[in-house]
Amino acid sequence: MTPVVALRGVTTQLGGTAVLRGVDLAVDRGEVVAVLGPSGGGKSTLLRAINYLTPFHAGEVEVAGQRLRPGLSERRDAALLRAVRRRVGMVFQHFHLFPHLSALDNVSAGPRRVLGLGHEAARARARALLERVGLDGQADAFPHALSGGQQQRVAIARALAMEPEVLLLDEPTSALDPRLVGEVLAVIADLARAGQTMVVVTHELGFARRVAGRAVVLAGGRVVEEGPPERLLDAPQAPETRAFLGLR
Amino acid sequence: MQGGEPYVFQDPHDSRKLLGFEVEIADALARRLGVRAEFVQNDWQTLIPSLERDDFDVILNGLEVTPERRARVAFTRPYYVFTETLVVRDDERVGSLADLRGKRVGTLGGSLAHALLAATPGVRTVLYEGVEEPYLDLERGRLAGVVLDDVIARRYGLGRPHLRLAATVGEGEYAIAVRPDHTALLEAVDGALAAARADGELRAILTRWGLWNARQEALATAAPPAPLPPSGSRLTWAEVVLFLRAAGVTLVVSAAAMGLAVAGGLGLSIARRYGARPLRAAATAYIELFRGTPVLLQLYVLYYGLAPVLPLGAFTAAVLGLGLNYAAYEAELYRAGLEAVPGGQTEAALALGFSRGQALGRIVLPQALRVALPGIANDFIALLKDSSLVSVITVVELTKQMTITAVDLRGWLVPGLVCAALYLALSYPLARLARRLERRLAPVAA
Repeated sequence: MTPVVALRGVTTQLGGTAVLRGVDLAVDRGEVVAVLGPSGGGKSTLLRAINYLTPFHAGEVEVAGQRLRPGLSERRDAALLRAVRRRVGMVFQHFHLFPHLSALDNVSAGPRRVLGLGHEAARARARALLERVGLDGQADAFPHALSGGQQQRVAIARALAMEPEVLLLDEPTSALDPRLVGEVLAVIADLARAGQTMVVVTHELGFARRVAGRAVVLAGGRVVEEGPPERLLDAPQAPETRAFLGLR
Repeated sequence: MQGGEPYVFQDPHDSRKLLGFEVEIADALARRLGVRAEFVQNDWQTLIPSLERDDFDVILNGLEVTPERRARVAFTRPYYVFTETLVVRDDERVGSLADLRGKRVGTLGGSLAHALLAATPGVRTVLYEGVEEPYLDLERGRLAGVVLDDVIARRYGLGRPHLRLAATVGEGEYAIAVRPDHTALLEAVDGALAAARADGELRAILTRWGLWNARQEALATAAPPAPLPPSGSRLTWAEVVLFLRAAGVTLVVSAAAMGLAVAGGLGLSIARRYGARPLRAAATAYIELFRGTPVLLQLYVLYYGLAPVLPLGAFTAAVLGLGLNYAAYEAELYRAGLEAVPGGQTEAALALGFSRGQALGRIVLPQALRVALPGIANDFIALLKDSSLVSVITVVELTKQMTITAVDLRGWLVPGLVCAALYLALSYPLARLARRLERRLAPVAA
């Protein structure tokens, strides 16, 4: 089986400093990969390289049957990038909901504008997804009227509305009040059970243990260790993993 | 005093010195009275209100003796007899004002010629604030004729290669005016003028300026015109209709210009933010140029300056001038709006597979517009008032109509209040609408 996402030797630089230093990672269909590691280790950059929101400078990314290489331009390579992005969902730490659109319109915007669905078909799909994330009562609410947890659930529904081959979640609960974290993690766990391929950058170790099939530790721009989450959390091998977990 | 050559004008070799036949007459009279003539700059059309305000004591600046003015100021005997001349292009077969029925004829607002044209049925009077511009527009075909005093026609019109004198359509006198209650001053100035006439000094001055002719001989016997009792003046229904029409012009010019500014400003701000380097530079240069120079200057350049290559109609030039100017301001408002939209919004749209254009049009612009909208509505109200500037390129809008009526009514208060009421009637609903839009589109915390 070919992986849904494959990174090979991906290297990125920011102002002359390497953020990723040759990362290899493959994600199979239906797999949930948790990306762990210290802040500044390159976790978000790794995620954003997959849909090329952050360009990389060496290596390649194969995703959704397309091959991304260094030096792509938003203008010149717009068609390739759109082809990738319409099949790769993204959930941001700070939601980035469209504040001028209702929850329903936030979710139906992608199917309408990108997939070309009709108005009613797009809204029906959006309604079903809002129900799936437990927000069928909030369809007409605007983002500012929703709690952080509700906003993030709308953002997940928005990404799912494109029926992505892989869903990227960038610290989806880091901006939430502790009491709101649970409702968002429950939705993500639900998606995992339904077989949605996901790459989740998270600091929620318990969640990673319960939901992820595999964990990857990224430190200093490299994958320092990977394996089943239980093994990795209970018996870390790499010194970076031990340091990250607060062990000596 | 304002009037230009040959009345009163600055010595091109010495900016502190004034030249002109009226300067010489004033100096001659002052010398006879043992005083020094001091010249004050004032708009020609508001000479009489300024005299009434005591901004100066004497008007000696091509002021024609008319019944309306005789009811308001006291005149000395005349110092010059002029004719009203009709100037046309030399390829036109025009022999009288009657030949210009249905055509556009230019003159100076508030002049005797203006009154003459207003009393000629069928002629479309176009008002100017300067004496050179009507002849420029005549040359370029924007006018079919120009009626002005012969002194002006000879200096500014007849020297031009393709213009000719068609007819003399009236006659009048220039006299010196003082406030009616300054009887001693009137007697003194009139006495000095009589003496200057009697001993030939006036004739010498007029001859030096090439203005002496047989008509001036009559001056020897002319007496000061008797003052007329002030007549009551009320705003007539016809004037109210003119006001309403002028308010319509103001609204149409402003709305069209604002439409242009809103669209142009959007293009500019997008070019500046998302365009390639040369496009960005061009948009920036445009904004700085149009923001950094007066709109009045831009109107002049557009209407008079570009006329040889691009002869625009007055209305078109007015809309274009205001619109191009305000586009620069709107562009800055959009820019502030675009900058207020967090980068995450574009990223979220791109991550969904939106094209860059869709991300801008569907996601970023609607949010930017909310930020910019109050400023845009505010600018529309400002534009409504700035549109009064287009009177310099002959468009009779609300403020211009007010000054015309004020001259007719010999009072500024009533026309001023009517004018203000009409501006408010236009701008207040706009302000309300803006506030409602603002509330409906209230920016929401992201």
